[in-house]
Amino acid sequence: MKLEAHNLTWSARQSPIVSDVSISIESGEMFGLIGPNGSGKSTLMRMLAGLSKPKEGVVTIDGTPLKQMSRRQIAQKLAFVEQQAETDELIKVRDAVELGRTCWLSALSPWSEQDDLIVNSALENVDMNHMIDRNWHTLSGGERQRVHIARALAQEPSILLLDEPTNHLDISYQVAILDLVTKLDTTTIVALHDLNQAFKCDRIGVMQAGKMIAVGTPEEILKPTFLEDIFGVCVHTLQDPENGSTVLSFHSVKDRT
Amino acid sequence: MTIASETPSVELKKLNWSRLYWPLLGAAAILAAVLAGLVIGETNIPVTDAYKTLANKLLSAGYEIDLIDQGILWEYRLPRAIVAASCGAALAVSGVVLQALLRNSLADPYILGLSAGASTGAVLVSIAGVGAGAISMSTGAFGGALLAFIIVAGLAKLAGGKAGAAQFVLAGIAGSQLFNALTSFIIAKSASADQARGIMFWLLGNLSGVRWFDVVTAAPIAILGVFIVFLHARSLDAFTFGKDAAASVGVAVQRVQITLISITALLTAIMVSIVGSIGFVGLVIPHAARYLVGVRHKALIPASAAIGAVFLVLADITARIIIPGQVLPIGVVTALIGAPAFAIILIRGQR
Ligand SMILES: Nc1ncnc2c1ncn2[C@@H]1O[C@H](COP(=O)(O)OP(=O)(O)OP(=O)(O)O)[C@@H](O)[C@H]1O
Ligand SMILES: [Mg+2]
Repeated sequence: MKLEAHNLTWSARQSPIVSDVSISIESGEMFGLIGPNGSGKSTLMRMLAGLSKPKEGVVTIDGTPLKQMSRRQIAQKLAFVEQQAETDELIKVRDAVELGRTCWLSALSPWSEQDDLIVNSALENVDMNHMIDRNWHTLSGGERQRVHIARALAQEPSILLLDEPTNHLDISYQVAILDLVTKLDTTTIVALHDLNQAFKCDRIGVMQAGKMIAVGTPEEILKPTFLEDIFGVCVHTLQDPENGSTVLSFHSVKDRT
Repeated sequence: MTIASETPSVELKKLNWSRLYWPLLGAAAILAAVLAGLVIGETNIPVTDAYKTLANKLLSAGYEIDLIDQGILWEYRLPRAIVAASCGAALAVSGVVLQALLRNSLADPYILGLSAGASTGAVLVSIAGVGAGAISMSTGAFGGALLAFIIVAGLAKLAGGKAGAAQFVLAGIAGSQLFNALTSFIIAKSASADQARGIMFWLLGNLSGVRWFDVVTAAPIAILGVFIVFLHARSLDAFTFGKDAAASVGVAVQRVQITLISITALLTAIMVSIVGSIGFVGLVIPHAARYLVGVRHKALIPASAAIGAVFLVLADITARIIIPGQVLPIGVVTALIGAPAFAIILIRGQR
């Protein structure tokens, strides 16, 4: 499904946090969102997910504005994994993933075996199927993050919004989760801090001070001179001797002199 | 894949048995408590007489039985036990709702000031004569409870409190104090000395005056309220990770919040206007139920309702017999049991 944003603006107490952002994400595309801390990535994603109302602008799914859909209809199409979501409840891993089915259930279509299968496969996808009876508060940060991703997968969305899905994960799960997301045929928007991971995206949007200042393919965006401007670090490119792909290496600006 | 698809179906068949087990156990426990409420009292009446009375009244069986005993059983103890059960279930389920929606394990109608607001509303109507007889005491109580929640929620929000934060409880304390002071003010201004004593007793929670007339309001409202909350079990589950997570999985957050808070206010208001404000039930019972059946609301709501009902019937029996010749306000009994239980929750909450 196609996700579009037109002239999105959001501000907190007069100061603009996101200003005039328009993007159009094609069906099946994997779109990366990069930018410094506080540049407005999470705020933009919350608007795209319909969780906060833009002050101006509209978000549409396949041409239909989110405003005209119920929460349930949105959730059947779009799943969102927040940067952080915690609980004090003694909830179990499987229960947390089952929450993803909420938007498909009603009094007339109660929980079925089909739902069990979907939850099982979501748990398998993030390799949490051996921990289904563990209590939430006993999980490590990365395990919690994988459960949230499994919950989103259990929603069977056509559009998946992931806000820094890999920030708590060890390197093997970072690779595994990103590969999984790349393989899914969902439309995906993913906020990332690891710029080397951003090479896996089809296109990348760069946020700076609330504006989308550039959109393009990884080859166009992930260039040393450009990144140095945005992040204020010194960037070198290296070649991976195995497959010839580009790798970025970062140094503080001082090192250059 | 075939193996995976067969395992759950086996589990489901097993589940069907245990699905009957818990509701039956709950119903049996409530019936047993009500029966205890019938036979135990200042004068103990044999179980056979209780049975005969019920048979006479319900089935016109025509058993020979002491008419005074029959009168005590049918006119006083049975309505009292049924109202106590309704009230316990309503308060416990209100606690479940507030704790889930606010993500705060210390939330309940009493702490958040709903009970205090309901008392003020009830007193305004019954003593100060607001509404000039056109609105009933329970309507006044409902208005008071809703107003109290709006003020408390507004204050918590202004204080920068997100759901789950201490601000909500602090705002609740402020709200309770305000409404209790208002209640005292109204009583001091408008009530005669006799009225005042009666009201003070009622405010602490008192089932002495309960008659069949009250059963007709309390029982249907409690059953309906608990049922509607039960229909929202999945939505309440979805609040586990907060409002945004609930919205993400398709819950119409605002609609659910408004519906369920209104029901909580209604349940609290009806119970307060019949028996006064009773503390700790809404706070402690949900935790006891979680300990038994876990955090999923599909089990938690009925379990809390059953445990709350049983608990309040037993508390009422205790209130009637603990000091011979005198009836203690039931709020005193629930506080005596509830406060230590609350302490345990606080300590265990540390984990
Ligand atoms: N409700 C709010 N009130 C005030 N300021 C806010 C609010 N929400 C976000 N901000 C501010 O808006 C800016 C953008 O926040 P946002 O969370 O979107 O950044 P981000 O790009 O996701 O950053 P990060 O990389 O750290 O996750 C930050 O400076 C933040 O402090
Ligand atoms: Mg962010």
